[in-house]
Amino acid sequence: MTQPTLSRRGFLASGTALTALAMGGFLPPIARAQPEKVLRLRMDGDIKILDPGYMIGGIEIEAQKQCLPFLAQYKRDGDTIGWEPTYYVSKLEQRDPTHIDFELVEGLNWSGGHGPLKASDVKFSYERMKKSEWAGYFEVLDHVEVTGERTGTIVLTKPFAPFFLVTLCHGPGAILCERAVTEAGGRFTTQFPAVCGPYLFSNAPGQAATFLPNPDWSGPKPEFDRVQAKIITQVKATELAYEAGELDCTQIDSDAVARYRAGPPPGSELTKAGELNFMWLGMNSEHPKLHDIRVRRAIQHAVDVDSIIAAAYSNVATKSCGIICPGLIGHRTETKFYTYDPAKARELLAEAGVNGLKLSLRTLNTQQPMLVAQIVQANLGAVGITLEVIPLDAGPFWEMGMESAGDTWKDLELWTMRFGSVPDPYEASQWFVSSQVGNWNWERWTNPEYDSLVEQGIAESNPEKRNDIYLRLQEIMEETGAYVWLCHEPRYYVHRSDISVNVSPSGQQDYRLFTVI
Amino acid sequence: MSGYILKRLALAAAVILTVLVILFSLLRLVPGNPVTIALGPQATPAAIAHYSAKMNLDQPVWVQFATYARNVVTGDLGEDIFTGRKVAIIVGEQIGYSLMLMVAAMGWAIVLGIPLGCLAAVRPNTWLDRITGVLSVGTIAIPSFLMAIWALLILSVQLRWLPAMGAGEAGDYGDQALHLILPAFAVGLGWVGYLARMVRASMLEVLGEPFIRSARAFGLTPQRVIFSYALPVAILPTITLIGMGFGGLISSAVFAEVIFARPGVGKLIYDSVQARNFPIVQGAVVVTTALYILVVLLSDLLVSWIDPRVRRVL
Amino acid sequence: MSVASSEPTLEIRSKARSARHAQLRVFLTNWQAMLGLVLVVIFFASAIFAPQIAPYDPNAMDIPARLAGPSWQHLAGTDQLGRDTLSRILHGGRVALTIAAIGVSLSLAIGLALGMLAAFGPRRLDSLLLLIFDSVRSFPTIILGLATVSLTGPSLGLVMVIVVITSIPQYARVTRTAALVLRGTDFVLAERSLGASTLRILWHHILPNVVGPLLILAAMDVPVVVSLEAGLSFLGLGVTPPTASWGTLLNEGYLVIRNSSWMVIMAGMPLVLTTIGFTFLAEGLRDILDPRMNRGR
Repeated sequence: MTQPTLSRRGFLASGTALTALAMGGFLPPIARAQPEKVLRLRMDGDIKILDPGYMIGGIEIEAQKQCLPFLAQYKRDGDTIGWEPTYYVSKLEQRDPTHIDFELVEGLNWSGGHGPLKASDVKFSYERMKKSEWAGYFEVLDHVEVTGERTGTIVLTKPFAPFFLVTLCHGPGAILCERAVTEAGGRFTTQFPAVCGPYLFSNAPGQAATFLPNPDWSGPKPEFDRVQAKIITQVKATELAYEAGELDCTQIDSDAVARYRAGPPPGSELTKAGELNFMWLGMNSEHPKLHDIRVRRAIQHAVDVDSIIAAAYSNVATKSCGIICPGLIGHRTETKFYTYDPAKARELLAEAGVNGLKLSLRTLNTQQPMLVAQIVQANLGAVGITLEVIPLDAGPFWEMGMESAGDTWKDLELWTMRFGSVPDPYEASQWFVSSQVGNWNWERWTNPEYDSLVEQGIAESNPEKRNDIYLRLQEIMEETGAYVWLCHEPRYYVHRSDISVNVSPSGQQDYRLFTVI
Repeated sequence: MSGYILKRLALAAAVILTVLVILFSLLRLVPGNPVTIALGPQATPAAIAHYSAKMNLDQPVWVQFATYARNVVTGDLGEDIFTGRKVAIIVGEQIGYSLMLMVAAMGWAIVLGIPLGCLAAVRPNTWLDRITGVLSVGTIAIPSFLMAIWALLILSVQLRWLPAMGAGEAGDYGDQALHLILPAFAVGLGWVGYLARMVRASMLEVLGEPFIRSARAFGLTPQRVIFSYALPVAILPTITLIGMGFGGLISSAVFAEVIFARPGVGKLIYDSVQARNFPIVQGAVVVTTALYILVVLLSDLLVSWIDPRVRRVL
Repeated sequence: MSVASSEPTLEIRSKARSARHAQLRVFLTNWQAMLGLVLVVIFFASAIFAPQIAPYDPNAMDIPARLAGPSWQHLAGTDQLGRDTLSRILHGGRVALTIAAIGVSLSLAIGLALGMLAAFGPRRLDSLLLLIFDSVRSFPTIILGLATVSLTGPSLGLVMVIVVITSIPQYARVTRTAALVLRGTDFVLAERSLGASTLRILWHHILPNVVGPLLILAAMDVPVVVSLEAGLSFLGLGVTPPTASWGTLLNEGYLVIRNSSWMVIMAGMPLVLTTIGFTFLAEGLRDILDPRMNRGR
């Protein structure tokens, strides 16, 4: 514990020095004033809407986890991800496939004098979600039955295997204070009407979000008195900030992982949070130029995925063969209908009678997608397809295939896409059903078998049967020819060796559960 | 003097009006409904209805513009499409950081550049003059964003002397000052060269004028001649240059803020453009323009106050 | 708006052959001007002959050799896709040259016309044009560019428009100032009293006399335009991949700055050299064409 770089703000060094003195049997009088323990982290953008019903996702969830009650939280067991009850509940049990009983801990109060945490708050919060923008997560919720001041039952309309992992552990499962939210007009944006957690939230837009101790909190004390989350949008910039000693823990990109594996900054370690995202090259199967499946198949054969992973992801990412991420039921490890084979691609194009094909590829204008796009451009060039790369800002990019957002979807030909996911295969599968055509199914294919498989996957609780369902469903996707699976990029954090970090598989840091080793 | 001020104010108002017209028509030139364009892809139907009412699209164009202009003048810059917060407040939060950066950058450039220019002019064709000449061309030759990247590479990545990212801890002024050094250095460096050259040239011109010769003939000390008589006259074009250069300074600040991940109006505009948060883009551009006009106005007034002859020119 | 104008004013006189030789000697013995000339020639030559000089295809990838430092194979190293940085810099010079050539000549032509219009047109028009020139001249360009790109998307055309709009005012102002001075000179008054049309006066007397200062200004403007293009491309407003421009190279280099610092060093050099080249050349030319500006230098 003599890493001067670690103690730039002095908390760790003085903390351990105190322990050493205490063990030595004498404690100087000054030491009674405990130094404030500060944890310095990075947030990738401004908090816009804290309201779980209307949030954008990501960092907002991170803030909710510190300030709002949840019934369940993720539990990591080796490579598999499960759930456990949080310290907000004394009981959380699945009585039968459609009933979940819970009992809240006694003595937890909402801030601002809004009274104790009650079962009716759970009812209010979850039933409210059904009418929100995140209603998808609560589709199977029938209602919440309040059986006592602190007890209740969540009643589902049908069995829903992923309910704990996808809904209760995740941001949408946050519980709000009925009284405070109603007083605030039913919705809120950048401030919580009331919190019930170890931290209070305050925000300096564009600069930092600060989590200060909540004086009304009577639950378990977190390790850190204060959490300072700096807003740094570019992931590259975080490396510099970390190496300059300005952060204690931060996410890093694949380039940095590759470099830190070779030689990490002094006193630092890497922690992998999960690889719950999937990236693919999509094709609009309805577009006249891509209507012929042989053309789409040719493109599948033409793209050199290994080079993409080597160049854009420094060989850190896992090669993808579908939409179900590594570690989950239904993860696929090989493709069935294509391999990298430019000769085959040329053959298929000739067979389709296509010559001098010109296509466009829309991509996010950030570093990795741009590199991917340029490799695809070169790959397709090698089989005689001229590719124009159209870089887009995040705003127009995320809506280009949506029919509700103008006419771009008609011109959409190829694009690269990356979805984040949660630790259950259901979440990823839902975006490609027939009813999602023109919403998130930009490839615009429909298949009744796929639709029914998605439904079966939700209701099935036998892991082996679920596995088969999800393997089959990805096979159907691949067969459409509209996908070239690219990769799952792992989410890595670099942090001081003496901190144990807690990051959910989908990448939200849970500061309450960070500890000092 | 008051007539002159009035004229200058009218000019400034006219320029702001021009920018408003440009912003207003840009949104209407692009095909599509101005409301959905202004709100961007994330617009909800409720927000569209709200803004349509506010922009009164059923009115004639000039009425729409008048309403828009009136809103801007009264400080109503619209609302953030995500959070519904007032754009005026959001811009207000960020502008301090940008001003701090610009003042620091220009400050050190003035403190170094003007004396350097004076010295070079007083001792023309000496080694000092030559070094100043080479230095100024050298610093002007490196665009500020390149300077920012190189400074980042050398002082932060390689040598680790200075923090690279952000604006420092809120409330910790020492830390904030430390974070200001790199961006202020990068933004200001070119100005050292500009100012030194400018001051040197106008100083040489002034030193050849008859009133300086008479001052010398009266036996005043060289320091007195230079600082009390020559400099106030020689500085005039420089003040105008600083005023006119404020626009360039804002552009450099945008780069510095993006490169050093620093909060500020430039970063705000850059991020809002990427998210297509048009109300913020629009509001921030209006505020920046107003600020720019204000600085130009002030520098003109300052010049006319120092040198009354100028007032007749307009 | 600006009062103490630093723009080169005109000196009208006939030039004897011997004087011209003397000027040439002044230029040739001025090491700064010669250095400038050499750099400018290199700028043009390397851009024009980039396909012949470049050791590699600028878009050819060699992924195993990515992010390499300078070596005999790759004199300026490679980028993240293993493309040869030197070849990309050379081809990026073509983008810079295109923007500079078209941008500068367009804005020079428009500025010349507007400047003459301001000098010889009605007084009110003059005031209006002056107002517009002054507001545009030092408007925060990047901010205007960012605001526009959010509506139109990135393209080289957009960069060109921004370059032209921001460059016009200085040409117009120089033309106007020079034309105003000339308008009052004896020979123009004499010509006019003989019944010459305004157009004739502009073409035969004003134009030949403003060409010199405008060319100097154009040479000074090239590095400004080139940096502007690089800056806009750095922010992602300009060329689209795989085309390389000095700005996109710098952006790519910035993103890998922790892995390899060579890209930002190498891709920055041509910007600096081009600026120095054109600045020195312009100053050398000014010394010949307009010695009055050379006082004390």
